[in-house]
This record gives sequence, C-alpha cells and structure tokens, in this order.
Amino acid sequence: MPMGPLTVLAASADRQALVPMAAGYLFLMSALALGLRLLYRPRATQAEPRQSPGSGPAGSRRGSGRAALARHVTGTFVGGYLLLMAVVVAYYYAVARVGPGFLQSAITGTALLIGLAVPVFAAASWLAGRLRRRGHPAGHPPVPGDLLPPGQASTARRPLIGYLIWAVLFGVLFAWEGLALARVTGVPSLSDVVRVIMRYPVGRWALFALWLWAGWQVFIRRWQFLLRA
Amino acid sequence: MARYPLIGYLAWAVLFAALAAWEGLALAGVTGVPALRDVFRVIMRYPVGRWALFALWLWAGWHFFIRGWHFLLRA
Repeated sequence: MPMGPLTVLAASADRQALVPMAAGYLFLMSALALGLRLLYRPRATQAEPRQSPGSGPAGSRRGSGRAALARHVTGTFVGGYLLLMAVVVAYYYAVARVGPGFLQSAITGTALLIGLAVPVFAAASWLAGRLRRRGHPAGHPPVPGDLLPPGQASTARRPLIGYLIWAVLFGVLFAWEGLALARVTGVPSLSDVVRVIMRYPVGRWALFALWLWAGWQVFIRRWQFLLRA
Repeated sequence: MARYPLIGYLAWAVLFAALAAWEGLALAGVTGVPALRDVFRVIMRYPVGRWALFALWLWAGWHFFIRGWHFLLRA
C-alpha cells in the first residue's frame, strides 16, 4: 500500500486536531478558573453552587445514598456523552470531515467504552465497599478533606499558587502536544508515545486498566464517599 | 519503528515525571500543594465541569483504545 497519501492525510488530521485540543484546554482552564474564583471568594459573600438532588450531600439526606449516587453518575455519564457527541459532530461538520466511519466510530465506540466501564466500576465499588467494611467495622470511614461538600471543603482550601502550578504543568503538556500536532520536527504526539507503549499486549492492558482506574477514581469513588447514606 | 528522536519521547517522560512529582508532594502532605483530585474537585463543582471532564476521559479512551479498530463497524 502506498504510504505517501496516508501520511499526508494523517498529518492534515493532526493539524486539524489542534482546534479541538486548544478548545478543550481553554474550556477546562475556564472551568478551573471559575471554580477557583468561587473557592477564593470571601466566605461571607461566597455563593455555593446550587446542588441538584443527588449531586451532593443534601441529595443524600433526601434519598438513599445509592439512589443519589446512581442519579449523579447517570447525570455525569449522559451529560458527558452528549457533550462529547456535540463536540465530535461540530468538529466533523465545521472543521474536518476526517473519514466516513468517524462519526459512527465516535458514537458506537464511546458507547462501547461506557458499556465496558460500568460493570467494572460497579465491581470496583462493591470490592472497595467490602474492603472498607473490613477495615472500618464501626461504619464511620474517614472522609478526606477533598471529599467534603463544597461548603465545608472551602475551609480546607490551599494557596492559589499550588493550583496555578497544576495549570502551568497542564499548559506545558498541551503546548507540547500542540507542537507535535503542528508537525514540528522531532516532537512526537501523545498518541505516538501511547502507540509505542501499546505495541505490546501488556502495555495495552496496563494503559486500559489505568484509564479505567482514573475514571473510577474521579467519577465514582469520591462521590461514593459524599453520597453515602 | 521509532519515527522521532529519543529526545522527543524523553520530553514526554519528563513532563509526566513533573506531574507525578507534584502529585507526590501533594500526597506526601506538603503544605500548600493541592493534589490532582483537589483540582478536579474545583472543576467538578458544576455539572458542566463534570460533563467536560467526563467527555475528556471518554474521548481519551476512544482515541487510544477504539479509534482505528473497526470491530463494530465492519460490514
């Protein structure tokens, strides 16, 4: 198979990927900035975000913790999925028609991943619950400061510079990826790095496990603590 | 197989090492260093932030593990 046209296509797709990558970075940094602004607002005037039933401890008081967690997780999964689909469709029609199977792959592929992740998350939560009960038979597990509801969590806020360093680190990461997507000589993209790791089955398994673990930690575990009845 | 100079891959390794080091300092309880989960907590205060983060996670999974495979799309 001639590699020339394929290489050109890949390079073109990479450059077009700069737009959504930059947009995603800006969006995340805006969300971080907004959250920090509210976190560092003087206590007397601080307006906490209105919690939907099930999106915080208030919800857990109203309903059972499990139902509140299910509502919260469903809301996050559905909202996130729809948001990603909206971005993918906008990218496809407004930026680049990257291929005939792109949209179908995005729709079915992400749905497949959610379908794979949900039973793994449920099993991990069940296992974590069992381990916790063994370790803390009194039923009062420690609640780390970061898992406290926003109102209480703001008491444990840290200096702003610590958050800014995170923002800078991620900024450098996105900038390096941007250079790679712009085809600057000698700069591999994150996909190139991942491809090297995924050449071997063990690398693929490890990366997939890491991806699942990260999702469970961020979207399930911390909210399990918060919403426990 | 290596299409890029080693330094390019090393730069990625250094970047991830820096992220891991900063997270390590936070987990070690160094004063004033927020952990990554603190950053996520700030982003996830609102549903839109949660959706964006979930969309990013889902996109990463699709991009790295699914895209290019035509398992579901094979005619």
